Amino acid sequence: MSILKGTVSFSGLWVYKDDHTDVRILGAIAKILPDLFSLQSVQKAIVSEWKDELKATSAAKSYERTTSITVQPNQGNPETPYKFDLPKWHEMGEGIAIPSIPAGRNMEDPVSHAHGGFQPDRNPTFKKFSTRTMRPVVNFDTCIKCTLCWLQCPDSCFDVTPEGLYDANMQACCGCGVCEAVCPVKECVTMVNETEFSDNSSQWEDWRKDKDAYKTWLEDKIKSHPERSHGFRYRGQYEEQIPEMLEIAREK
Amino acid sequence: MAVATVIEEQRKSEETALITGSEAIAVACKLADVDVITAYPIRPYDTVMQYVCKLVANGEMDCEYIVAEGEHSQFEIVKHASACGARVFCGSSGVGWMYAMEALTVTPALRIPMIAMVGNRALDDPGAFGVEHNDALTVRDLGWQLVWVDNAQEALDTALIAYRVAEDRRIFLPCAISCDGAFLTHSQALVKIPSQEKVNEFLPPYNRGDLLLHPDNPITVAPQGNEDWVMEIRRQNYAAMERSYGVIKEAYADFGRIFGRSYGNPFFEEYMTDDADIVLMGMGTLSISVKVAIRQMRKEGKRVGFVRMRWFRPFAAEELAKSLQRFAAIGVIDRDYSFGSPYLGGVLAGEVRHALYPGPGKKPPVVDFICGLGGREVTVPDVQRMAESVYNAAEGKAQPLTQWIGLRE
Repeated sequence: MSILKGTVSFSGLWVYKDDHTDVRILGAIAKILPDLFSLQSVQKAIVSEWKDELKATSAAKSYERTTSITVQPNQGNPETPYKFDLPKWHEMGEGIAIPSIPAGRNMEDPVSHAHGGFQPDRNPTFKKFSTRTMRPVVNFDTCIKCTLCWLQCPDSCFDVTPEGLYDANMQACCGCGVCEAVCPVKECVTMVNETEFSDNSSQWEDWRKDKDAYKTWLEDKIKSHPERSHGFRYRGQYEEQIPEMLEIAREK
Repeated sequence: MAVATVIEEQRKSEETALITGSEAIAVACKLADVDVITAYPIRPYDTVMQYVCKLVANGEMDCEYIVAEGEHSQFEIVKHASACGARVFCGSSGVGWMYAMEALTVTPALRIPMIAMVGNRALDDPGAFGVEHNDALTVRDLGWQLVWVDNAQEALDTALIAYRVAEDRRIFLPCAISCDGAFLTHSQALVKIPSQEKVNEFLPPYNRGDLLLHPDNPITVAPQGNEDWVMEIRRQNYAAMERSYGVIKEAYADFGRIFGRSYGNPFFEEYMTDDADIVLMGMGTLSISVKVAIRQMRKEGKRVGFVRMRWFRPFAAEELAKSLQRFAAIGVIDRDYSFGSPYLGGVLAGEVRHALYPGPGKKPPVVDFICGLGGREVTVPDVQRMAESVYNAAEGKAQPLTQWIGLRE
């Protein structure tokens, strides 16, 4: 397994070809498979195709930075990946018609046991959380209940709590980051890399049970792990970032 | 070396490129100097149009490139351009091809030698991007020539051959070249690109002759007919298809002579059939899994062969029957469906059984396997399962005539 650390492309979709991902991969391949082609031939091809010395430099930098480790079979994450059990043809409904999700239920406060709010029932078989690379952490103390996160979430992941706060349900959240982008309060909703978490427990329930502990946990998550896996926190962030990236690439 | 000599050398030489099936066909359009191309986006065929417009933008190709507002217009425009003497190219996939259906029916009827690429795609609903052959097959009765290719080299070569055959005055029928969606349209392989000189030697210019729509040639095309006229007009298309067997053979022979690449029998490819007990049949890129499986089975002493249909229309029934009668049983892999057909079998199996039935020779049992629909892979274990069933049939053990392979059941 070879690793090349770098800034991920926008939304993981590699929309902007000028971020040099393509030439960095070529440099990495030259390092891993020197019998296939050399760094020199990569750089020669880059210069002849794009007439861009900076791209050739990026390839060389990636060549230097690529590291490899040997991975044995069955080494690594011991968790069983989530498996879908797909239905047989005769178990499926006919007419390519998908039954709509049944409504939902009240939420129950873990401390006061008050009932209220609304938690939609979610699709029992298709779990979008399995591909999540980052998740929102919510500061329930600073929330002004503007409802924008709940409204704008493309998958209706926010459960409405009995007191009218919005709890991102980790069973449903796929980690798109729209909630962070629309929240008007600074650091009320913050996207944090998914590797910082190990379960889908409810943040609101944790906050209700121990507000101080939750606050500490939240601040720790936000402070040391601000990196989004993809996308931007606010409009204009890409325009701000790209000159910085080019500067870094230009550094001799 | 003088510049002129360098250019001359390049024109004569053959280069090799790593390109997709779609790009191979775009390159063939460039070599064939196509005059009018209409495009409309639908995946997976539209990569061919992306490559074409790149060639046009780079000045490597001189043609009218029109983006129509839908597939119906797309196919109508090139039909009319062809009627006016332009060499044309078009294409679509799946439901896009369906959207053009009215144009597709009239194209062969008017003897328009349009070359179209179909990037085989599953029909909606439920809608999938993956490969199924039904889209191209929907025109199988109308007078379109239909050919399936399974690699990028064959795609390029067949496109050139298709122009030669379709535009032959004895034929003047459109030809649809089917490339499996994604598996061929989007996968790259090394392709030898012939020189312009050789292509010019192989492919004469398009000459519409007395059917040309032009003020100097006052004709009316496509008036409404009635029961006094329709049968005779249809009979003319029948004759053109009859002649196409011979024209196809001529074209392939010439192709082999000029380009040094011979395909042998143009209508179908035979793989390890010389000593085979049983054969499997199919079209398109499933051939790759089948050939891998056959080599594995051969190591176990099972002598299985494979017949890959290239030309579906015209269907070389007599030649195929003659070949198939050598085997104890036949398994047809249908990457398509035909609900309600005899024995609920797929399209290819129906054609194969039909080819065998009238002939004088033996009629081996034919088992039909529906497999690989919607882009699901035809895997090597799938093929081994099929061969097992065909062996059972060869031994006289009754097998279900139509079997669905790789299905969750």
